[in-house]
Amino acid sequence: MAVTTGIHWLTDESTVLDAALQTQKPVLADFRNPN
Amino acid sequence: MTYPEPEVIEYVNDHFVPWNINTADEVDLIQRFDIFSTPSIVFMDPKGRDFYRSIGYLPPTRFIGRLIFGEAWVAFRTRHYEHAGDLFEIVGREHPDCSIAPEAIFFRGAARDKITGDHSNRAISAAELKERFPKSNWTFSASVWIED
Repeated sequence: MAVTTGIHWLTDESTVLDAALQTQKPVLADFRNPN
Repeated sequence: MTYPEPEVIEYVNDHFVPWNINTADEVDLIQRFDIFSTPSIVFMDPKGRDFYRSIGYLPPTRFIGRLIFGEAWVAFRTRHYEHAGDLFEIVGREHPDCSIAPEAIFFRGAARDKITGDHSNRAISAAELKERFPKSNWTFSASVWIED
C-alpha cells in the first residue's frame, strides 16, 4: 500500500512490539532530538 | 529533511513498524539502548532484538539504501536467508553510491550460502567486489573466497 501522507509513527514500546509480532515486520526505532 | 520524501515514507510504512523516540523525554530508553548520538536508528526484530544501527543524517537516496540494508540485517540475523540475500542484492545493485554497498554484496553471498550449504555464492560476491569495489575492505575480506 503506497502511503504518502506521512509515516505512521508509534510512540509506545509495547504497542510497537505487539504490532511487529502481529505483522512480522522489523522495527525501525528512530531516536531523535527534536531540538 | 529525509522523512518527508514520498519514497522514504512509502518504504518505511510498507516495510517496518516505525517507532519514534523523542530523546528529550525518553531517558530510560536512551540508557537501555545505549544511544550516544542522534539521530540514531535501531533496526530490531519483532522480539525487540537490536541487530543493526544507523547513526547520522543521510539524504533520501542514500537513506533508502540504508533502510534496505537494516532490513536485510534483521532478516539475516533471524535466519530468513533468502529474504536477506534478496535485500542485500538490492542494496548492492541499486544503491552503489551508498558506503554499505560493498558490505551488502559481501553478506549477499554469505546469506545465499546459508541456503545452498556451499561457498559458491560467496565466490560470486568476491568476484563482483573485486571488479566493482577493488579498494574496499570487504573486497579484501572476501578475497579468501576466490578459488585459484
